[in-house]
Amino acid sequence: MSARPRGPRAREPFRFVDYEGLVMPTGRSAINLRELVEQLRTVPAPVLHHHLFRTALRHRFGVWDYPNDFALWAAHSLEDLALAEKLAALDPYALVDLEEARATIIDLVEEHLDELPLVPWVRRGFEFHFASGLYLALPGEREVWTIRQMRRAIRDVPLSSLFFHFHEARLRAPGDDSDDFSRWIEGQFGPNSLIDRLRALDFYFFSLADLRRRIVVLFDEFLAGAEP
Amino acid sequence: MTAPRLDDYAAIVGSERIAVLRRLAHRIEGLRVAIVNSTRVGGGVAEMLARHVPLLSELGISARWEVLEGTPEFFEATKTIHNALQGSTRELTARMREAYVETNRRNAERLDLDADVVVVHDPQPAALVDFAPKTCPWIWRCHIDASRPQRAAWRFLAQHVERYDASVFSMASFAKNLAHPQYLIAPSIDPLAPKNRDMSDEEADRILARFGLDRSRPLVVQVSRFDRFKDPVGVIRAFRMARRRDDCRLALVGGTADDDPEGAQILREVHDAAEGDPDISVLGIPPDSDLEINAFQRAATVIVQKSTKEGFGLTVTEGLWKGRPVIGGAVGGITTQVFNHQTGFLVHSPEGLAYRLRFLLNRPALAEEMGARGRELVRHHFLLTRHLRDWLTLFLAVTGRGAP
Repeated sequence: MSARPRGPRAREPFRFVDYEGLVMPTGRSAINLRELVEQLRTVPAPVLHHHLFRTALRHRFGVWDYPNDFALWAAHSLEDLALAEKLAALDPYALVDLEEARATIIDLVEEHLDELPLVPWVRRGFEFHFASGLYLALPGEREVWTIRQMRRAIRDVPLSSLFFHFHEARLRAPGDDSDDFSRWIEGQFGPNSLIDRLRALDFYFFSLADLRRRIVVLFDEFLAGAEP
Repeated sequence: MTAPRLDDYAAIVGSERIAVLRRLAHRIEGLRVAIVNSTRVGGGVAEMLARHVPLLSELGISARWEVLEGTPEFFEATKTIHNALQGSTRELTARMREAYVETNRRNAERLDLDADVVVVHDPQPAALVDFAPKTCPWIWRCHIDASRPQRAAWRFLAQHVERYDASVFSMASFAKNLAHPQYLIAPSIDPLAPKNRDMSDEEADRILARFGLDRSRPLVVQVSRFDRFKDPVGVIRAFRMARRRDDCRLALVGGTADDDPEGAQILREVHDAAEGDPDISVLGIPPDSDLEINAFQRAATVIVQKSTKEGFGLTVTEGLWKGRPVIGGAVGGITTQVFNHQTGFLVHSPEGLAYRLRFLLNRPALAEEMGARGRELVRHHFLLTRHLRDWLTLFLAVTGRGAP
């Protein structure tokens, strides 16, 4: 970085990653809830991963209220808000693995189906399309040595990079419910309140743009010494 | 005017996005990519390629654009395939199949397909893969809404497509049951091209005046090829319903492409439907009328794309980029761009279109908000910088150079 670092300087820099990817449709789809369950039994695990963990990478208008693709489809295509609510409440980060996620979603949808007199359908054109993704995490050029530099970089990097360092970070280190930013700050500068506040962010309920704004506010408050 | 270079896009998408493109491209510098389609002029695909090829070259990719040459008989066959993939029941005759395969065989000998990656666009050149030496990954790029194809036509085409190493579709619903990997890449527009660049009101007015139009009354515009699936006659019906209550004019603006023999026939039908109505302008314009299209879209109060079948609908993207609300048919890629009450409205009938036209004509403030949201949607997802990024990512993937 060309800017003069202010505040303590790290021993090792934080290097931001370029996270670029493509959605890979499978050609498999479901037009009703029964078909959804049947497909869920057999789709490959990366398909489940894609629909549970990468929803935040998609653009959405309005309030960020359904954090995974299954809940979104139930709400907006099937228009079954009771089912959407159950699917939204599912926390994939709390599940042991994708097979547990598969079993949990199938149980949840089948129990819901048991309560319905008819199998709900969507209009043609609004089917659930199963997909996985190909994502490449490549070394970016941006590296930072101070907390202030990190704040500026978080403000500027593509949202997909934020996703990699905040959401994907949890999947890369199972059992460690933290993000790359707080891990680096802790490793370089020792414990501080910013680390705790970053880890306390319930990121699952924010769009990436909202999450970025919130993270930058946490950095600003820390740097101003104004955090509670 | 010189063609825009990559850095010119930084003012629109941010310099970080341009830097990412350069970093991705650096990993595959010098990669030789042969890109094949069936026309150099006319239609969304040719327009995109005309911009992608020089920009890929600027990024250090050795991109080469090859164009299939065919007889009228061949293009008749490919138009039949195109329509059949979109559900038409017209049969692909044995003679058409023969013309299709034979033209591909001759072109495989003629075209320079020696490359590190070959990208083939749409059905017309899809059978090249059968006749060219296949020494690198071949990617089939399908722009068509083939979600409910005529089965026999798809079976015919699939025997060629299955020989590819990967396919690319514009929407998940277009993907097929294929053995090779399938990818999703949405098309895009070039914000600096004559069709989309900023234009003053005065310049737009001057262009409109040449067509006998002005902005004194609300203007409803549909820009698209004269194609049955764009339902121009349905737009006329809807316009007449809306005009009973709300004063407005309609401009149906369309070009024709080299590979579209049906266009002239549809244009005649539209002229017949509009005959004698002074508020309807049916304007058949040459394929290079980019500034004219820009002016029409900017002059529009509401932009319409009442397709009954649509691949992606780049005219919708163009309309949204001009900051105008769009009313579109609830089909294909239009549903990924038009969101009810956010960027416009999705409709299912001429009646629905008439109702939403009246809604927007009577709520100019809401229409303006929708237009602004539409422009931001396009900025983030449907500009050519995003499209180039997707291609670079795919090239990294298929060449195995995407490891950190």
